[in-house]
Formats: sequence, structure tokens, C-alpha cells
Amino acid sequence: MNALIVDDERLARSELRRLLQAHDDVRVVGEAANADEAVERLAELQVDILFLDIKMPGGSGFDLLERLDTIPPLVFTTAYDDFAVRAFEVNAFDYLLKPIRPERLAAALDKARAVPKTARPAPERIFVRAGERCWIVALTDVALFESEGNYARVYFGPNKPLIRSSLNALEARLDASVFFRASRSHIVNLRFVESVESAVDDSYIVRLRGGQTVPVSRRQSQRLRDTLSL
Amino acid sequence: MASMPDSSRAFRVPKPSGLYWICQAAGWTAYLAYLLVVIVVFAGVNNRGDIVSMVVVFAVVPVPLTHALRAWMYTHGWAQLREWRRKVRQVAAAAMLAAGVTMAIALANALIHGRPWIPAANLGWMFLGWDIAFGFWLWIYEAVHARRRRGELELIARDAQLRSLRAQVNPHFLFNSLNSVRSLISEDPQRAASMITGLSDVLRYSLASDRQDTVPLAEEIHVIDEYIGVERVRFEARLQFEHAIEPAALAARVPPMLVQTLVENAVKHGIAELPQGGRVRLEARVREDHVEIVVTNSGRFKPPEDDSGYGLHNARERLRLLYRERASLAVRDDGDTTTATLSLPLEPAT
Repeated sequence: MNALIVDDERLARSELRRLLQAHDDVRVVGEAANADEAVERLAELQVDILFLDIKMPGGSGFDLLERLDTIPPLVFTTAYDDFAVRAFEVNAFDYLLKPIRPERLAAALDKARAVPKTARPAPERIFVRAGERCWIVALTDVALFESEGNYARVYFGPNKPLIRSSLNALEARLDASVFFRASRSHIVNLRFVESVESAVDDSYIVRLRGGQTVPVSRRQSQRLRDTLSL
Repeated sequence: MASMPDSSRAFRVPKPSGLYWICQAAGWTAYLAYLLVVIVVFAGVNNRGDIVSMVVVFAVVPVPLTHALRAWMYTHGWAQLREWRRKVRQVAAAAMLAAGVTMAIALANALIHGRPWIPAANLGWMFLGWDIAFGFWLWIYEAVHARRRRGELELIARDAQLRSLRAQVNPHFLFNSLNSVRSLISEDPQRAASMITGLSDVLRYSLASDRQDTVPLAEEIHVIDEYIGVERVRFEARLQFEHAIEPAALAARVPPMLVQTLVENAVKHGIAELPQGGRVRLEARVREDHVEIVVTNSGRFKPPEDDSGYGLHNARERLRLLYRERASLAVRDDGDTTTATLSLPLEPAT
């Protein structure tokens, strides 16, 4: 497993590096002292596990996550941020309190190893922060993005937080074969489509598994017909 | 009596004092005597039936009736201050009660003696007067007591507030430092050892800081030096610290951990937020009757979302409680540097 350590304190990084030496299958491929460096390292390295400090100068660990297109397997390292860690609704990650107990580190690594390595890449995950609450969401769980002014509402499970992103920016990041731009203000996950009803003007209304109904613009209805009939 | 005033207490009917009974008896006896004089001497009434029935009515009716009225006033919150609407309604109710009593007595008299009885009107008005007088008395009594209770509460609150406002060691600092020590143990055991003594000094000072309202600045600066020593291990070359302290200022008394909080804020904003690090400078000088302590750091002051804004707020509250308006704390953002200026009177804190 390739590990990347992100922490602004050199001593903290070297301490974690030293603790990881006890695990033969873990190789520390890089270190970063701030979010900018971390973005660079993540772009150039194949990272299987990311150790991330939350409080850092020039952008917190959360700010870093918001800049990433997909979230690698993640372990937070934090001295005393339990409120920040508790902000997460879904335990999509592990976290270690500094100073780190070797047993806790071993357990976190076991958890990371247990993720089955298949030929298919793991589903992409995005970081969603809305006020005090945070989620790490697999894109396969997102049913719908809906624009609200300069914001977008993300529908997944029972949650629908607002994130500061335009639908155009989201559309550019998303896999076009799964996420369909239904109209100026909607992007739907085609895997969540339960039924398609026709409306006037040759346009469609899409009903999603979550219960939402999304009107499809006339121009996009044509494209939807082509996509679905394939 | 330190508990908060609760509504159940105010709505209870207190046991009447001896003075209350004396006032009741004396007041109504005097009123009866006055009426007798007016009626017998000045109006020349000598109908014995009238006089006897008046004495009987005055012996039996007013005391139980006003006593019941008193209980009613208590249970209906007359002792509560700031209840204007309710009071207006109550006065109206009392006036109606007075009118009702007057009518009832007059009617009873008319039925028994075949004519209305004039002193009855007087008696009705007396009820109303009694009611208003007692209400006023209650009101004044409660106002005086509330003020005294408020005074006591303020003292207790000030003490508790001071205790809770004491800056404690920031847990983030503590655990990050412990993590650094753990790393140093294998990297540089000598430095690890001295870091532990430094950290111990800071912790001991912080834990003991609620024993005294103020300490000599020299003590505070010693702990700040230890604190900076610990932070230097964490931030390494990113943290530069210097101080310029006038010898005369060393004896000035300051609230413990207050200057330390300012320095810690400077490190948090000036250093921890800047990837390249920065500089923190501490100055202290005596100016006439006060000591001026200035903490400067590189980096902007942005009112933070986390607890350090709270730290500044706490520091101001402590100053207000200890010195009232004689101390001040100002934070100025000059773009690339932030300056916190603390001014404390040289005379002892109140």
C-alpha cells in the first residue's frame, strides 16, 4: 500500500513514518506540509491510503478534500478535533488521535486492507460540506444534483445538502455515461431512474428511486431517448 | 438564597408576620373608631341598632375578607414585578370586588332595616384602598428584595465567571506537543527531555492560575518563554519570537494566562496559518499609571470560527470583571501584521 502523509508539523510526519515502518506492506511514497503540496503529490502519485491532518496553515484538511475530484481511502490524524471529526455523518474513513497508538494504527490499516481489490476501480467519492456537517459520498449513491442559484443541492440517501458549486462545473467532473444533464437545473444519475413518463411537447418527466421527479427539457429529452434506447 | 428566582416561589402565599396582624387590627379598629366618632358625634346618629350592626360588621367582615384578598393577591402574582397588564386587570378586579362588597352590605341592610346603610359605601372604598396600599407595599418590598438578591447573585456570578473565563491550556496545543515529544524521544532525547519540563511548567501554571486574580508580569513572561519553547519544537524555523520588556514593567501585576492567551493567539494566527511561518513580538512598558503590553504577529487577524475568538472575548470579559473600565484590550489588523494592545492599571485590581 502506498501511503501519503499530510501534516504541517515535520515531527508529526516523521513520527507517523516511524510508526508505519512496523508494517511491511505499507510504503510511505510522499509527504506534504500543506494542502497545495498535497494536491500536487496526489496528482503525481498512486496513493492507496492518505493520512491527513485537519488543522494546517493555508487550508485545512477539509479544504483539501473539497479540492479533490475523488477522495482516496482516508485516515484523519488529529490532535484534538473530535468535534470536526464528529461532523461527519457517514463513517467513510478512520481517524487517529495524536499521539497515535500503534494498535490503533494497525487496526486502521487492517480496515484499509480489507477493502477488496478488484479489477474495477473503487467508486469515486466526493467530499460534501454543508455548514457544520460533512459527508464523504460515493458518486454511485448520488441520485440527483439540482441547481439553486450559485449552489447545487446534492441528493443522496435521506440527505440533500447544498454545496457551493455550479451544475456546469459538476457536469465537467462527472462521468457522462452515468450522470445525465436533464435540464439547465438538473443532473440525474441514470442508475436511479425508476420510470420515464412522457409529458406534453415530446418532453419527459423522470421519476427517481428516491421519489424525486425531474422534468427533462425538450432538447435533452431527445438525447435521453437516444441514450436509453441504446 | 443564591438560587435563581423561580415563579413558584413568587406565587406562594407567605405566612403573615406578627406586624401584619397588628396592622390589620389597629387599622380597622382605628377606622371603626373614626366612623363612630363621625356618625355619633358629628352626624348625631343614636340609633343603637345601626351602631351595633356597624360594630358587628366591622368586627367580622374586614379582617377575614382582606386576609383572603391578600392570599388572592399573592397567588395571582402581585409580588411579581414587571407585570403591568396583570396589575391593571387586578386593580380593576379589586375595584369590582369593593363595589360588590359595598352593594352586598347595602342590600343586606336594606333588606334588614328597610334602608341602605351609608357607612357601607365607606367600607367598600376602604377595601379598595386596602387592596391598593397592600399591593404597593408588596411591590416595594419585592423590589428592595430583588435588588438585594441581584447584588448577591452578581457577586457569585462574577466569581464563577472569573473562574470559567480563565484561559486553560488549549487541548490542541497540549496533544500536538505530546505528539512532538513522542517523535523527539527517538530523534533527539535531550530535546525531548527539555520539552517535557517546559510543557510541565506551562501546564502547572495554567492549572494553578485560578488561585490568584493577578500575578507579577515576570512570572507570566517566564511561562510564555516556556510555552514558546514548546511551540518552537512543533513549528521549528517557522516560529520566530522576540520580546522587549522594560524592567519597570516586570513587577506590574497581570491576570494569569491573559498575556499568554494573546501570545498563543498570535502563534495560532501568525504562525500556524502561514505555511512559511512568521514572527511574534512581545513588548511591555510602563506608561504613567498603567502598564502597556503589546503582542504583534505577522499574519492577518480574521475573526476565527474556532475557539480563539472566544479566547479574546473571554480575556475582555475578565478585564471588565477585574478592572471595570480601567483596562482595555484592542486588536488591530494592519494587513500583514496584527497587533494586540493590552493596557492595565498599575494599582491593584478590585
